[in-house]
Amino acid sequence: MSDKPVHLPLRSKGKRATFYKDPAVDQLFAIITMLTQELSVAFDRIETVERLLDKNGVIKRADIEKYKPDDQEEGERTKRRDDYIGRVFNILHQEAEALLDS
Amino acid sequence: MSNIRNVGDLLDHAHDERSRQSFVSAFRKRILMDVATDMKTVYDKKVEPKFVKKHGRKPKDALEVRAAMRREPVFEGWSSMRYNAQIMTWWSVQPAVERQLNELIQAARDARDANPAGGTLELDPNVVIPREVTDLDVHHMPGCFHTEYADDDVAQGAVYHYGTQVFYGGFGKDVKPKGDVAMSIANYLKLAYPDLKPQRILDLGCTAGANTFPYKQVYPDAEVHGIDVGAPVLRFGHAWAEAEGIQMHYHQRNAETPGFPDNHFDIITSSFFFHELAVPTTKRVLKECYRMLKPGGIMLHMELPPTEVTETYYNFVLDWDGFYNNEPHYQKFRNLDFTKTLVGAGFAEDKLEMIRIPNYGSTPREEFTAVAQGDATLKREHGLGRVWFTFGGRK
Repeated sequence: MSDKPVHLPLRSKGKRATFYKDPAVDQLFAIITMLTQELSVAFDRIETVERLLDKNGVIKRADIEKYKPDDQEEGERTKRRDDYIGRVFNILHQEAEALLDS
Repeated sequence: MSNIRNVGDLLDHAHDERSRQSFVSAFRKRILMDVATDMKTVYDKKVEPKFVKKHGRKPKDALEVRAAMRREPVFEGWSSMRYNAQIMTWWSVQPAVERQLNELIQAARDARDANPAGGTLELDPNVVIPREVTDLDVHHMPGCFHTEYADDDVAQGAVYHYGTQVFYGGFGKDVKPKGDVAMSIANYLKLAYPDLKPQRILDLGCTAGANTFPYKQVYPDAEVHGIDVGAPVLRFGHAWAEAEGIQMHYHQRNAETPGFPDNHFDIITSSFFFHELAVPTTKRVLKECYRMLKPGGIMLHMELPPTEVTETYYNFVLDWDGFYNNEPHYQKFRNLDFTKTLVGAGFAEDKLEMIRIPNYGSTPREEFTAVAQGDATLKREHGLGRVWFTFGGRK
């Protein structure tokens, strides 16, 4: 085996699907979704920092890397992520809500 | 037990990688529960009534539902979310696999050399990798099941194994692949056919073996064999089984030309395999199953439910994968006449099996047993893994 690092491909073989009349909208959707993910990651990181600050008073970067939430905290995080996705993508829910209200 | 490292759980994910994975799991749960419910509401309250007003009847099939829904913003949005979530599933585990690939490969070599469970791994560099796998990356997993990037490579096995955990992670805390399908079929067979004492069991298209293991657990005296065309998934699956102490026999073979003798297996099975095959391939593979099955043996494959037994709107939802998830044979498979197909493969019409098996892990034991013993009153709807459609027959 060579020690050359392996780079796995990001693009899957086959035609990329489009759902909107203008494929640029599909591209924007992909970008926004990735941004949403990254913001969720940032929330997680901030939360880890806050919790570690509470705990230690000092932050070490290595502590952040190895920090793993316990079950109860993971439950809280799961709920927070779920609520967050619900807010960002709320536009998709609004029509159904209006139909149910009418 | 030896102290070889387990490829199945040795991957370390950095803080942000875990966080991306958790996001994808949460995102998928939102899509499949909340947004899917919204989409159904829009269909029930607006789209279907509009269709009925125009045509004087309800849509007759999934394609008509699709045509009516295609330009609805909720469908475009739901689809876009689902599509991106699918791609992000694999992306969320690839960096950790890349970074620790040497460790994974070394652990797989150690498992192969130490071989503590006594399983086997037979690779064939000349195996014909079919177009079903080479034309498109199935499920948008870049590199599919077979691509190799290094000597003794296990990368695609790892991406599949860890990616699958992310994929199913949104529905529960225990996200280890636990072989729900095989657990359900194996326990069903044990209850429904108490006289069957299998010597040899074969699983087709076994990938990393999550749905092959349970046969050994339910039938500890049987030899359990798995075949797949992808070497990286088989190497990974073999190493995983050895580290878990489960004796498995993996072979790199094509299910169209599996090469095992006639009348060789007591049970032949698969999970989520046939819908990835072109229909002519499905027919050839089923003939091979009949040939390899011992008289008295049983073939039972888990699959998507056929179009004809599934409600129209649900067909539309299921068929999404056929359009957008690099699974081009999906609808044609679901539209098959299963009775005709099985009879065409050699099975006697009065010995066919087509049954919805409840999910073993989440069904009360009494209910599971009643279904296995033939109580058809407990028919459940398909969806969210509560029940598995199976088809096959006895030779």
